[in-house]
Amino acid sequence: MNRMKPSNSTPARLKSLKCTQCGGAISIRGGHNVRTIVCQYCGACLDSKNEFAVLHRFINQKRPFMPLAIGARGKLKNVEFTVIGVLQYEQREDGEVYRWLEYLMFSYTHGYVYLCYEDGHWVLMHEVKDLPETDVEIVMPLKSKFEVRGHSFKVFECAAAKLTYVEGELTWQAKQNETIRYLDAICPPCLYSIESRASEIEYFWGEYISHKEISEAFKIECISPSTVFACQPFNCSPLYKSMAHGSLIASFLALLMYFMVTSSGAYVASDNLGDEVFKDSGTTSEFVIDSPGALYSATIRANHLDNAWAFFDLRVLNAAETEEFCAMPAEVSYYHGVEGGESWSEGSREETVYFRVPEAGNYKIDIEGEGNRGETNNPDPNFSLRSVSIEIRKGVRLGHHTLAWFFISLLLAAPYFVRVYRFEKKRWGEDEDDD
Amino acid sequence: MPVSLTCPSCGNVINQMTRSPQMLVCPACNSTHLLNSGRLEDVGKSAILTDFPSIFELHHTFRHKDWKFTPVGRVRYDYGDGWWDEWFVRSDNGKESWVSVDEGEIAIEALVQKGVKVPSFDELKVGGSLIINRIKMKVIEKNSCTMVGAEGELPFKIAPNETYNYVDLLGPKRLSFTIEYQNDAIDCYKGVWIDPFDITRA
Repeated sequence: MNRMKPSNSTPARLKSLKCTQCGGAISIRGGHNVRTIVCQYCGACLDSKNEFAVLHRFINQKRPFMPLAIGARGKLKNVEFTVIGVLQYEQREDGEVYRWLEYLMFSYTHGYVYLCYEDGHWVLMHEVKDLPETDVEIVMPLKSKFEVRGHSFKVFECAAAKLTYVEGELTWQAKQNETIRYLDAICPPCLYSIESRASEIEYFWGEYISHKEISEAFKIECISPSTVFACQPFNCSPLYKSMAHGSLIASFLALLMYFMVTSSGAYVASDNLGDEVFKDSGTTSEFVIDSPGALYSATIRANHLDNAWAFFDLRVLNAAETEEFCAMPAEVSYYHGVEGGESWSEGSREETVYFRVPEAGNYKIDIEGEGNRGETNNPDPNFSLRSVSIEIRKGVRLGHHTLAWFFISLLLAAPYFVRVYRFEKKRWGEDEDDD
Repeated sequence: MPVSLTCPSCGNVINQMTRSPQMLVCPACNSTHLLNSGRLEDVGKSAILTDFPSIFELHHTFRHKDWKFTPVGRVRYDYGDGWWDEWFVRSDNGKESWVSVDEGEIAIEALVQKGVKVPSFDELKVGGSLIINRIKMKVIEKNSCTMVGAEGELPFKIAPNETYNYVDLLGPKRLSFTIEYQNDAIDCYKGVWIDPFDITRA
């Protein structure tokens, strides 16, 4: 075995150089995987693996507005990054031009990442070797789904973009106006991107970063975005979100409870009364109430009601008709006809009212009715119905309270879900208000 | 339980962390020792590893998802355009593996013990495919490298300026496969590429 000699294991790193074409000062901030450096003064693309020889030139580059400068340093996801290069891409669609910046950043510990900037939105992306679990083409229908790393992604965009500006260090050799094809799929706040250039396909994993985080990380003023970005998460406090989800669950539980507790009860008695109900009043035969605490129902049916209304006053009496325990109003109306060849009907011929009595025993119901046909402009003074039937049931459970809880909890949850719905509409460009 | 060894050069106590290291570098004096029958034999000084910030540190425990591991040794290899570090790591359950790190590109690999038939170095081309154990993989790198420095405990003897050829392959589900060609010996390492953002200090 060779005797080991102390030495420095890696050569000293070059920190700066002069552009081999124009002599402009260039700082080197990246690692050894940097392949090319594009001079900001003359656009020369220098080969960092071959004595910085000029590979080609980017001609007539127009420097875009850049919220971050090369050399800027900031801590994102607890990792210190330095901006080492910048690229601008341009995409044209339906006469609109969309431009975005991609900052290449370097960290000794985490390597190279891209910080993408568009319309005030920021996404931190890095190359991954995670391929979709199913075959994914770079052109797929919008919203089609595939899985990566256990996340379900929806295709957001498949397009081509042109490289329009390059400056600084890159881990590859960029070419002026070169075109990339890409597929962006989202699972907010994550973005999965497949990029194809020349013969190479790369896969990127991204995460939406709020402009406030960028502002704090790089100590810069960031504009607040006014649009919804592809992978932007719906932003609300976790407490509000939990409450909304809790309320929604509560409303479903309340609805379930409502169906479980409601009961139309057991049959007790029924009776048919004639037109005396409308002349004076009619009284049912005796029926037995054996559970005085239970809720009873009385359903009154006016089967001959036709394009008319009827109002009934029901009074629960003891068998001797000497004592009244409760009075209940019930109104029915039923109209029908044909309009424009379509038949229609509204209202109902029956109505149910509920009552309790304090003691078990025999009871009767006295019914006094009045009614008329259609509108009351020409009332029929002799209006009456041939018969009215009534059915008594016991042990009725209404569940009105649980139904009320269903609506209250649904109302509490609704604003959150309406906001989410509108946010998603904006994300997918389906919001008509934006047009 | 770590075994305590005394550096024959400076008297520093070195705690042996792995089961059967063959080489140890004293953290105090940088002397390189071979371990023979429980005794350290001084074979010279190791190259000092230039201290670029790294995602790992010797003798600190890290976590990747459910896997906890502690780097106990490191070898640095130069491949011409740059260099990478091979971290020799020990898991909580005593299993030993290698974690290679090249500016954020990280792969965890372990030696494949069973004989795997692989083509010669010259037969493989970057971009070409290779089927190993019915798994189709793509050659993503073919190069040669030189060992430029080491620290900590290592499971084999290694010397500075030793050179070998290697081929890196990428398979489905981030599968990583490395074939090392050194003289007549061929070693295969199988593992997985991992995301540096999934690594945390334990």
